[in-house]
Amino acid sequence: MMTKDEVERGAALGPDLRAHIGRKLRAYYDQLAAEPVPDRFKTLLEQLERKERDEDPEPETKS
Amino acid sequence: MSAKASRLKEALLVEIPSLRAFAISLTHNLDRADDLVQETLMKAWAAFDSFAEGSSLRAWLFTIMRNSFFSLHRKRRREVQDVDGHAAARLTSNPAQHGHLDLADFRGALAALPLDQREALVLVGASGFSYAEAAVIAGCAVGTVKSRVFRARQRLMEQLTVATPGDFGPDRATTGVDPAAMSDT
Repeated sequence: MMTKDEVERGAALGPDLRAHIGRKLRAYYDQLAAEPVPDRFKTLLEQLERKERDEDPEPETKS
Repeated sequence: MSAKASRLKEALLVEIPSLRAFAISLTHNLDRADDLVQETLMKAWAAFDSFAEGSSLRAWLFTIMRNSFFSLHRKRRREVQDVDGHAAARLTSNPAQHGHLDLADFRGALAALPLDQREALVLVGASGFSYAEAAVIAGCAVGTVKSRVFRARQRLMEQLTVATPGDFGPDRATTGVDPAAMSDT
């Protein structure tokens, strides 16, 4: 699957650069994952939870 | 039943940041990413009975997300290709300066990768899945994931060293004339 050419190019470009790429990728990704969660998703999940509860209420919970 | 729903809600809330990051890396568009997350959460909720308790929730959610994305992508193929093209154009007109790889250049280089390579690279290199888990999520063989990750890294390295190939190793990438040889003429 990998050509000999690709392997040679990979070796030529150096392990330091590969490590740097890995760090940059994770930094980029972690930056995205650190964004605050928009309200719409919490709202959606609460709606789904409420719907579930209304359709199949726990016997103990009496309002 | 409502206790189970609460637990599911809490479990899904925890996964949203990483789902969102994956969605953004696939779509490169914040609105579409958030729509994709929304769709994934709804599908996951509806299908939760089929989730094998004890297995990786994150892997299961990522599988749902990428399947949604790729089935929509097949319909929107032309649109996505334009996005990749624009990203690639941006990259070549704005190469890395001084060999520094800032995140804006990186984001452009990532966006210019073919989708299957980008997906494989993000799953393995950023989301923390093993090659085996990534293969299940992407619905392909482990060898295919490895090959895609390898090619993605190659392409990133080549694109991000356009300005300064000499900094990083033997001069296979350079095409310049040796100044010492010129001094003989």
